[in-house]
Amino acid sequence: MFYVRTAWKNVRRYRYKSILTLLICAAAVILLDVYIGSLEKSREQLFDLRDKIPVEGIIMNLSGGREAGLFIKESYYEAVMNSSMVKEPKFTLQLLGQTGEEEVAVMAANTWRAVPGLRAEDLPVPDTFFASSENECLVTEAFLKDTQLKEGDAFSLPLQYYELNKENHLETYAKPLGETELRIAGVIRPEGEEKEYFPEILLPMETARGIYHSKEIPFYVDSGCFLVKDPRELNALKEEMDEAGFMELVPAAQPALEGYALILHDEKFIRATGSLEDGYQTMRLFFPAVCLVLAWAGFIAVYLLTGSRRQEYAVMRSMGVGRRGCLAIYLLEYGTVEALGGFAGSAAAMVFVTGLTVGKMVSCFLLFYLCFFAGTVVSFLMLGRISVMRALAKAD
Amino acid sequence: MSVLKAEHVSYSYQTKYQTIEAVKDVTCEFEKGRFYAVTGESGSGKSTLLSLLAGLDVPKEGKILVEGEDLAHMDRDRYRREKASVVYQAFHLFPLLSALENVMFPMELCGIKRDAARSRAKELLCQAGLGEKSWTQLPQMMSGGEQQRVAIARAAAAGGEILLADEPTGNLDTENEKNIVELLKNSAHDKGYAVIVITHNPEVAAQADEVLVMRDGRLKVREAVKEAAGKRAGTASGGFR
Repeated sequence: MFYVRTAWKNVRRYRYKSILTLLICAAAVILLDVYIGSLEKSREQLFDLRDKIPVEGIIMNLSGGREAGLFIKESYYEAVMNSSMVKEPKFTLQLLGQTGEEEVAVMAANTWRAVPGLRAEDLPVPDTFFASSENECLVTEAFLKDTQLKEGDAFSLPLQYYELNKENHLETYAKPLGETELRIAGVIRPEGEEKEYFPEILLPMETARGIYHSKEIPFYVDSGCFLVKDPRELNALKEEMDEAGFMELVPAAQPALEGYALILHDEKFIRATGSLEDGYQTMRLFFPAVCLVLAWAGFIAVYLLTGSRRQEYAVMRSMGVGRRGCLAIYLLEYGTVEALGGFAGSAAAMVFVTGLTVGKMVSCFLLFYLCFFAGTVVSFLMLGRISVMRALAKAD
Repeated sequence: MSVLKAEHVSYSYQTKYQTIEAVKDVTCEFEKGRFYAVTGESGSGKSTLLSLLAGLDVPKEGKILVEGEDLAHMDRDRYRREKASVVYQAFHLFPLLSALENVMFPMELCGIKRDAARSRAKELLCQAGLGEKSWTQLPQMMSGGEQQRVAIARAAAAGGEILLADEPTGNLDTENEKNIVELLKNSAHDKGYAVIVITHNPEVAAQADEVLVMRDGRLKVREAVKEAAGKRAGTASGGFR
């Protein structure tokens, strides 16, 4: 208690030095809050850009002339579907069905978003329909009318798939895929301009894939695109897709239908984030330096302010206050003032600094206190090394 | 039995350019109830010897014995809290504490409760010849003589047995010098302190029971000043009880 009382007395008696220390600490905390606030703002802006400027990936043929009606290998399809860096993948596959003498357009898709002209409100089933591998389908009203079927009915559908001419890579042939039993899970009533071209039967992609596998026919999709989940990880995504076998566009390549190339529309994002990312990373690099500067400020401020108190220290030691006792008194004194200064600075920062939550402000205060007080401790440890004998003899 | 003894004590310290042998092979002892003066020219090692006797450092050679115990193996902070006190030429009062608070400091440091410490501090200040008016004054409001009285009262507050004073009258006028010396003498003769005063003032040295003369770090002369009965006359007008 003696040390606490003495420390508190010192805070009050050395009031100008206490106020000066308090102001230095408040200023240090405000500056730290500004720095951290700027860092947080930059980070938030980067995150916002990720959503405001999406990066799209589209599978195309090598020459870059087509993005639909392609032959995209199963391994490419799997690479995209299984990637953790991709969101909203959209794949389609066109097939031909036969009802009596009539051919019907069949489309397999992995999501309703991949089907041109299909809106969420048009779906008669939950959107998980397209993720299943059940032998179910969605049909149009026209199909029901033509086939006299109704929702819930099962029917057998002969299917045909398209195969690529391996010699010219441009012609396709329709070949039988066999008959498949399907159940009508729902009826689609497409609206708008595209209803004329709307496929009469929609299948989940995995259902189609299952049919191919059961017939031991190599599986292909005919269009594919996706959004990049975190555009800041574009490089990692590019590496992953390179490993999967995707190639870059070769404009001079011969036209072909193989979907070998992947193009990422990242120019806008890179332009927007380039300088922001650089600034953010540079600011982050300064973080250790900021901590060092705080510690240095704590050391220097205390060293200079306590210069005139070296004699006081020597007198206390000569009266029998131990080295640890003296350290306790000074650290309690300055620890209290620095904490008060930190609080004052944090309170001021709450008003003037934007971009910081209460939690971040508390972290800033703790960081400031840790670094600044560490410098203070070093300063007083150095004070403790002076020769008491010589300090008192010199004065005399 | 001596309360304090130096046996073949030597001390040197390093400056930027040289090693200085401040004290060389000094042997002396001090008893309670006596007033000692250590004299010598500047740089003779007097203050260094005093600092060693105060336990502010340990000798490079030899030992300082406190009631037979080697000071180097004792808790020297505790020694200065409970046994020995030092008074300085520059007074060295805490500038932002009042006279009363300065005297209370060593008592509170030893764990004495505030009220008891305050009460005893007032007693000591009275005995040192300082009236109530000066108790709440800060050191810079007092004269040199008053400050030194406060310093002596503070030294007595620790309740020890040894009082060391380094040129206590160096900054005082003749009148105050006389008063302070009287105070120190009576502390020895009435209270039973071993009072050791560093001085280069022959008039102060003449008041001592024993004079030690140092030259070039060595103890050259040690002579007892005649103990006239009149020095111990019961006309003591100060001192601490």
